[in-house]
Parts: sequence; C-alpha cells; structure tokens
Amino acid sequence: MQYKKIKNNFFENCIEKFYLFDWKFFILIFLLIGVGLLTLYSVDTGNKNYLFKHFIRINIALLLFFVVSFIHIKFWYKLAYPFYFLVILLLLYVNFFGSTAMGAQRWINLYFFNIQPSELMKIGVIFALAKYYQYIKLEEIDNFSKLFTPLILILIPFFLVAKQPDLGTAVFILIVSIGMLWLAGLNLKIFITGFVSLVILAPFMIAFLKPYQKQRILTFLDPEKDPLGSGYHIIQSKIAIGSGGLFGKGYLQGTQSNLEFLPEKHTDFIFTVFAEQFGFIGCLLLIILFMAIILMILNISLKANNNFARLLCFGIAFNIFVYLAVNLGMVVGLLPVVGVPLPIISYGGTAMLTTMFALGLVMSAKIHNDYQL
Amino acid sequence: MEYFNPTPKKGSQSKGKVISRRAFILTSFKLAFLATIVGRLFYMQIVKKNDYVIQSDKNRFRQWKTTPSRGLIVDRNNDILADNFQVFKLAIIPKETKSFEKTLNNLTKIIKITERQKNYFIKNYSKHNKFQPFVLDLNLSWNEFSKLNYYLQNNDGIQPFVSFERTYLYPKEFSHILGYVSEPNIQDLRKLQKDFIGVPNLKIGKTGLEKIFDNYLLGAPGTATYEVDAYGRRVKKVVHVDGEKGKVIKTTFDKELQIFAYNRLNSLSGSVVVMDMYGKILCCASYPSFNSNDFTYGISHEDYNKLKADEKRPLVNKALSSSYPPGSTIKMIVALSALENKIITKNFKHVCKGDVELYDQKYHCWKDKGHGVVDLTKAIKESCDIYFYEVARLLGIDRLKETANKFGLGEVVLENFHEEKNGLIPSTTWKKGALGKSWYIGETMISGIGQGYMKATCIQLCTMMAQIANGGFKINPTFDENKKSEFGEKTVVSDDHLKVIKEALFLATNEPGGTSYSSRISGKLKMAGKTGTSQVRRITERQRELDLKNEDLPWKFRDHSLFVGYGPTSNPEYAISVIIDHGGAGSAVAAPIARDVMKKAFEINKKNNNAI
Repeated sequence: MQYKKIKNNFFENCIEKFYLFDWKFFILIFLLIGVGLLTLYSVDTGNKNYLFKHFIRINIALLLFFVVSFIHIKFWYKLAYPFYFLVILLLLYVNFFGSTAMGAQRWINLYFFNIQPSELMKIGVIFALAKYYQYIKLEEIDNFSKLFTPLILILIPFFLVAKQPDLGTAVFILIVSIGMLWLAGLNLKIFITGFVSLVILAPFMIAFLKPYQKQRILTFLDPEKDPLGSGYHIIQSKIAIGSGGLFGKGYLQGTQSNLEFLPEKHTDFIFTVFAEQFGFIGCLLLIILFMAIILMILNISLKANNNFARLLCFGIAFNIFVYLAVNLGMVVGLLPVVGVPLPIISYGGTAMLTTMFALGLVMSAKIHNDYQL
Repeated sequence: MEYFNPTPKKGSQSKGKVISRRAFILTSFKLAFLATIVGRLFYMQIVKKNDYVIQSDKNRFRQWKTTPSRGLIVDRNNDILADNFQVFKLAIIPKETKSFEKTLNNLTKIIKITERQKNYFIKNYSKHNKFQPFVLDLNLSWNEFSKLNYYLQNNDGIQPFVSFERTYLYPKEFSHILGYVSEPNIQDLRKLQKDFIGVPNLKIGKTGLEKIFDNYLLGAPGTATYEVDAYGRRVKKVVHVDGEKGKVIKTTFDKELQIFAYNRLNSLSGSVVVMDMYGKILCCASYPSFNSNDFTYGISHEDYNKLKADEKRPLVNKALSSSYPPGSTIKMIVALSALENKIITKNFKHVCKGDVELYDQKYHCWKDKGHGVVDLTKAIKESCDIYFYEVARLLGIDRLKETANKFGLGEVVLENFHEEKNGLIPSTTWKKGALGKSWYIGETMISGIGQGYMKATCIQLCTMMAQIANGGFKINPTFDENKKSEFGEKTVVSDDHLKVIKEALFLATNEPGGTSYSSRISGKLKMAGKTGTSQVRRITERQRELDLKNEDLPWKFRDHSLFVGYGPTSNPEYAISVIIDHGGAGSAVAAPIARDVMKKAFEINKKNNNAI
C-alpha cells in the first residue's frame, strides 16, 4: 500500500489545492449563475423579491461549493453511507411530519430554507452506489448476490419519494440509478430483463397513479385539448419560445413573460423566459454552456484514480444532464410537465444547494485526483 | 488496491476501462438528446416562428368593439322621428370572465346593484349568447362610469362603455311603421356582417322601417385595441379605429299629418293611409298602438301579453298587415274593368229593384226599395249593388282580376316590407288551385261589390285610389323620400274611362244623394271618394227580416267601415284610404275621418307652400 505523500504544512497544502482547482470549470459555472440572475431579474416584478433571495442563496451555495471542493475525497468516501441514511431518515420524517405543498409532503420547513429531502436523495443514491461499486469486482458484478444490495439502495428511496407523492422525482432517482448501474458495468442483459418486466408491470403501475398524475400524462399527449386547463402551461411556453425567433425579442422585452402569460416562470419555466428574450442563438449558447460543463465533469472523472470518484463524477454529470434534458424537453413540449428545475438557473433553494454541492464533489475529485482509495 | 488493479484475467477488461467505455456511450446518447432539443428549438424558433408570433400577439392584444350610433329617422321636413341618446353602460365579456357571479360581487363594491337586479342578471346571463358581450341593464351615472374606469385594472372581463340608446319622439303615433329595435338573436347575428360580433349593446331593427333600413341605420362599429396581460387587464391602448355613424333615413312621412290621423282614430280600431300621386306615403297610422320605446329596453312579459291579448290588436300594423273585404270601394275597379274590356259603355243602364235572384239565390242591394233605373255615374254615386252584380256577371272574375292587379290589389305594393299582406283578388284558376273547386257565377256577383273571397289592405286601397286619381299611371308606394317621384306605365286604355269614374266619385261626395255627401269638404279644395261597408258575416234571410242594427251585434260581427278618396279634385295631390274595423257604415264612420285628415293635408300643404 503506497499513499501519496500529503503535505504536512497546512499552508503549502492550501496553495497546492488552489493550484489544482479547475478555474476554467468554475468560470463556466459562474457564467451559468450570471445567466440565471439576468433571467430572474427580467421576471422579477418587484414585490416578490425573488432576485434578492436568489442572490443570497447563490452566495451560500458558492461557499458550500468551495468548502466541499477543498475537503479531501477520502472524507466524502467515508461519508457516503452516512449521508445516504441521513437522507432516508429525512425522507421518513417528511412523509410523516413534512409541510404539505400542493398536495404532496415534500418539505422540511427550516424557517429561512425549505429543505426538500427528495432533491438530496438524488445525490444520496449516487453517493451510495459509487461507494458500493468501488469494491465490487468486475467478474462478480452480475451475480445476483451483488445485485441485491444496490436494488435495496435504489428502491427504498424510490418508494419513499413516490409515496409523498412526487412521482417525477421518484422516476428521476430511478433513471439516475439505472445510469449508475450501467456505468458500473452491469451486463446489458440485466437491463433488458428489467425493461421487459417494467413494460409488463406498467398497466398495474398506472392503476396506482393519482388522478392528477394521469391527467399530466394525458395533457402531455394532447395539450391543445384543454387549452385553459392543464395544457395552458405548455401552450404558453411554446408560444413564448417560438415567438422569440432567431435573436429573441430583446432583454426585458418578452411579452409572454412580462404580461404574465407564462406559468412558473421563475422556476421550472425559466428557460422559456430566456428563450423568448434571447432567441435561438441564446438557447444554443446556453445548451453549449451546459454541455461544456458536463463534458468537463466527464474529463475530470476519466482522470480520477479511483472508481468511487469516477462513478461519483459520472453520476453527477448524468444527474445534471437528466435535469437539463427533462426540463428542456418539458418546456419545448417533448416531455410531460413534471416539476423539474433547470440546474443553477432556476429559482429554488434545495435544487441550487444540491447542484452546487455535487459540483463541489466533482471539484474535490479533481483536486484529489491522484488519490487512490 | 487489489480491487482496483486486479490482475487482468484472460479475456477480461479492467473495471476502469469498462466504466470509461460506458461513459462514452452515455455521452453520445446525451449529445444526441441535446441535439434533438436544439432541433426542436430550431423548428419552433426559426421554421414556425411566424405562427408563434401570431399566437403571442393574439395573447397580447385584445380588441374591444365600440358601438356605432344608430342613424336617425326623419320625416320629409327633416323633423326627427327616431333619435339616440347617450348612455353609460357596462358590459361583461363572457369569454374573459371566469365566474359571472364573482365579477358581479366585485362590481357591487363599486356601483350600486341591488340583490334583485343581481338575481335578474344571473338569470339572464345563463340564457345569453356567449359570443356577444352581456350588457347589464343599468344606466350608469357619470360618477359611477369614471369610477369603474378607474378600478378597471382589478376586474376581469368588464367593459364600461359609452353607448347610444334608441328613442322615439312619437313612440305611439309611429310605432307600427317605424318598428322597434332590440338585441339581436343568433339568427340575426348570422345575417349581420362579421364586424358586428362582439359589439356591446348592439340593437338591430326588428320590425318596420327599422328593419328595412337596418343596413343603413346600423353604421359600422369601431374598435379599440389594447395590450392586455394574462388576466385580461388593459396595459395600454394601442390602436383606435373610429366607427361609422348610421346613415340618416329621410322618410316620406309628414309628422303633423301622421299625428293628426293617429289622434283622429282615437278609441276606434283602424288605419289611415295617405299618399301623394307618386306613391310617397305621408301618413300610415294604425290604432290602437304600443309604445315602441318600451321595446328598446325589453318589454316585460306581463305588458307584452296584455298587448297580445287585446282584441283590437295593438301590435298589428292594420294599414299593412290586416286585409279586409274591400266592399263598395272595389266598384270603381269593376266599372273601369268593364269599360276597358268594352263589356259596357259609360251609358250602360240597369234596373235596381232592391234584390235580384240567380239560381234560387237572392242577392240584395243595400237599399231595400231599390234604386230604379241606374246608370254608371249613379251606380257609383249611390253605390248601387244590383248594378254591379250585373256588371260583374257580364265582366267575369278573371278580367276583373287583371284590372285589379294593375291597380295594386292582390299583391304587396311595398318593396320587402315583410309585414305587408298580399290581400286577395280571386280568379277561377286561383279557386281551382287553392280550394280545388270550380268557380260559381254567384261568386263573381258578390266579388263585384267587394265581398266573398276578395281581400285588400288599407295601403292597397290607397294605392288604387292614387292610381285612379293620377290618370292611371302605375306607382310604387314608398317610405323613402330620396326615391325619385315618377310615374310608371299607364294602365288604362282610355282617359275617358277614368274621367267617367272620377266624375262619379266627385258626385258621390259633393252632390246630395252621394254616399259620402255628409263628409264633403266645402270650399275651393274638394275631396272625391267612395264609401264602403263590408260584411264580416253572411246575412241570412232570417236576420235580414229581423233587420238587426249594426250596433246591436257583438263588436267582432259588426261591418267594417271603409272610405277611399282623393283631393283636391281639381288637381289631385293626395289619395287617402281609411278602414275602421267593425266600425259600421262607411259613410258614418270612415268618411268623416277621411274628410278631417284630407282637410288637414290641404292645410299643411297650404302652410308649406306659403312658407316657400
């Protein structure tokens, strides 16, 4: 066992870490934060003060990002299971004592922050699976005994979140977990078997759906059917994006958002607001920016020297991608309306904190990339 | 690190490599998905941009229609008959209102609406055509109106507006002929131009001239376009397009004459029509009447039913929509037809013994003792029935019909006046077609005195009289003052024929023994005319023996009283017809009314000439 020598001098240690810190990556994140603030400013009607709250949250999140970055990856490796179980406990807590918002128990009210444990669970699952697969040999990976633990790790949070009920996030957790299993090296046959059994089970699952969840799926299939009801969001969103054109209507000139036609415009539909003002060019640049961040995370993970860090980074990159894909797919009308924010840009406490925490983990993996567990 | 760097077995790969390869596959998938999103954005923002821009503008801009003021109706001296006055109103736009009741509750905080009114509005709203704005039946004060405009930002779908309400200056005297306006129903809206959909407080002509001239009177609605937010609140005014006022309709009426005639009919049930020699209608009065202003605001069921149940039928325009047996007033046409067809000469004589028998059927003259030897002039002057039975018998019904049609009988005389009745001049083919029976000679005989199947309206009889007076020229009666005064084709072969009849008519009114001698106009300007008394029931021999007085019968069985005439006789200017429902003898009731109205017409004419 040979450990890389860690510098004993704390000061030297810090210099070293600053040197290893990926500033290009940070600038990209900072750009996204800037876009978020700019867009939020354009929908801030003054009395709701989203912008100020968002600004405070960004500062807290950035602080968290730096702290997490500089903490050694070894610490995060050790923290993986405790973190996972803590979030499970929080989920159990909200299911019994949480505040009810829009018919679902999702929140823990901390007076100045509303914590949403289901959001944290997305990181929790990545954490736990990354740690679990660190010590699984490639030859054993397809064994049923080795498949049992990860299934438990995935299904417990899935059912807890689905019961809230927040089917969107539950499916989200499932997708991210499947992505993790795929990356860990599970045989393709297992995925195919799982998929086939899911298709067979689907009719039974639909029977358990709440009426509003069924309604959402139906609305997705034909939004024009009920233009003032459930389809209203998606129609107005498409009008706003489409009417933006190539260059957009100009900053602060978005009629759809200024005249209140857009729903949820500071949270889930913030991309629509952006698209209306900055047009196709703006959207393209924003998507490229996101893709650049995801590719940089992949780059970091490829250079990592241990499977935990590698899987963790892949998982986080995949997590961010799923956020992005589901949100964009929703606002352009390719996917059903599920409450998924646009990472970093949307207004919202927990999602912002979770994303920045995850990016901090990526940076920690980058700084400590020569460390072998 | 045995787990991390295992000794590679044969055919096995390192775990790190598997992860990397799979990450690469996943990344390709991510790129593909994002490319799909970009493609979708390209489709929406570049390919379909214009569609979405239109939809976005549809969201942003909302058009409010402004109500045009309805055109005035004036008489031939430009005196206003139908006017508009400005009102402040409030409309609720159904498609912008989520809950009507909630909107009403909000309104009660700003303006005064009683609980009873509220219930009334809710009841009416449920029946309302949701394409049209719902106008609250309230007239707002200026104070309330400005207050509402101030609070507009906080209320969805309400629209205070300035509008015009139709008002009739002589609501009873002109009610039948001018008609009234009311809210359009769905069928009416379909007939209107598309612009009118959504115009608040739109009223359209439902009957009379209001209906006929509706296209001119309506004008064109204006629009005001506002930028609105998602809740329908106005943000700013973008465009304003002025509407167009309705055109002024100048009618042929003489206000003074119409009012005089209407009042002269007081307590009776009947109608008076006066027209000039070219068919311009100066007066078209029907009594009793209703108040047309009541219909503008919507008349109550109770009042409407009362009007409907009245046996004197105040809702019916008797001058146009009621047809009567013309009685003796047809005799001029019978005589003229016989002269024209050379059946008789003007010297044709016949003996009247009071009755005549044909196929065991007795036909009576109104004068039981008979008139003795009667010539054409005397027959018209004293209205001898026996003489005309004979003339009609010789003439035949079909030839009579031909002449009658030329003189405006049997067919509507006005253009597209849907309330006007055709009347009826029977013929052998008509009877075969309508009743499936062949014609009897006895029916020809009673047609000769304007009884039997024969029916005519007041305006038809007036037209007939005007054509006799103007020298036999065809005319098309009209209410439109702007129409040129001109004659149509000549309908008589010989002026001599008309001259004989006109002389007889003069004598009938101006020589002792004439049926309307007691209603003559003394002085330089004289009237010529013919009375008529038409039976509404068949008199049996038994009743004839009883010699029942008309006054002893129930009202609805009494004879109709008619008079047709023209004047001044020296140079005819006006034709008149008067019909009094169940009034009794023509000479006793209709003739004096005609005399008074004609006198009034002379007076007005003189006054107008002096003014010039």
